[in-house]
Amino acid sequence: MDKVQDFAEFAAVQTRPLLGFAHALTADPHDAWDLTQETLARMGERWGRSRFDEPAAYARTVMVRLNIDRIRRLRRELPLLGGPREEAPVELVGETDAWLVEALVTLSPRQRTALALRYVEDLDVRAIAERMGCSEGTVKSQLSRGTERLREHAREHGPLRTGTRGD
Amino acid sequence: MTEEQIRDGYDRLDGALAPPLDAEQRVQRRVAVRRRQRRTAVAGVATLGVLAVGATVVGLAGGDDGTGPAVATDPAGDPVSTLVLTRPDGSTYAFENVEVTCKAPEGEGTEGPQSIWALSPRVIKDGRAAEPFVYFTGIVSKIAGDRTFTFPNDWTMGTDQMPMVLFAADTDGNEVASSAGGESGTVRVVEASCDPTPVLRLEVDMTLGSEVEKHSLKVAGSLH
Repeated sequence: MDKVQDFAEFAAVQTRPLLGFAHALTADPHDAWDLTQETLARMGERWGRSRFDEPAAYARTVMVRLNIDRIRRLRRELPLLGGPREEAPVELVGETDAWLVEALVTLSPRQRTALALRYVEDLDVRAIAERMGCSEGTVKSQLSRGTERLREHAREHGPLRTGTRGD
Repeated sequence: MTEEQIRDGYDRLDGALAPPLDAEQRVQRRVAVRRRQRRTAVAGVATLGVLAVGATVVGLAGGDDGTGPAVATDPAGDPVSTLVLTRPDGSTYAFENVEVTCKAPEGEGTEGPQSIWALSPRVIKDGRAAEPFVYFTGIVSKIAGDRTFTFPNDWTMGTDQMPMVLFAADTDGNEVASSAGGESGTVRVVEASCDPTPVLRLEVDMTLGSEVEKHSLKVAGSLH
């Protein structure tokens, strides 16, 4: 199969799930799209020059690593992101839980990453540590603090759900 | 707050966003930007290497401004370039020294169909072009035979598949291309051949779209 076509098909299939994962990583639609686009661009740049045994899993690892110091790294490497930001081109098509989004914003990128890998990707501590490139002890600590913060926020603000479908 | 409630919240977060309808094009554009940035970085490293070797090498490179080309070239024709970059404020830059080659510049893959390049000297400082430069690449089999390409077009955005790409970088960090979105105009390839020596004759009348969300730039003139 032509490598360009091959990547196009990979991107077509993976864009939506990667965007969902990025949303969990960032709790921000604009950042989620930036992260998705940059992740796919890095995959595309290497496509045909590198061998990926599991490209979908590798893309998530790329995304996780990007997200950990996302702002600092992307702003340094991508003039695109240093300029005025365009309106987020993604569309909100489902409901989100306000308490969760608000709570995630207060977490560190590492805590958000550990939680997303656990609750979206359903990974255990060991696999999360591999994806994040850190020790299992660090993951346990991030998960513990992150989860506690989510519960604390929900207690204070209630698990109210807001959002729209199709607007 | 139970584990189940947290998981439900994440499920909704996971499914709340839909990508833009032109997601594929946006991704391909960013791939092109990243490739271009890699090439620019390689050109910068190559230039620094040339400068570090000393004035003799620079002198042999033969650039009028002493900067020298940063690309490897094969025995090429010696085209006359009237290509001019025009900025929105009306200021211009003439690409007088353009080399044509059928050897892939450093940092570009050598696999795939035979391509031909036209490049002006690239000098990069602090990640930016110290002087504007122009870059054209085309797949010989797709551009040979006096063809005129009109933009915008609906080519697949992957650089590897497009018949040709015209790109220019300015000193303010702006990078513009015929594949960036927002481009318009025509490129007529009068002649393109690698056998026996590289020959490329172009007539360009293009407004190139910015790859870095800056203004468009006009590039017009000929290579003959």
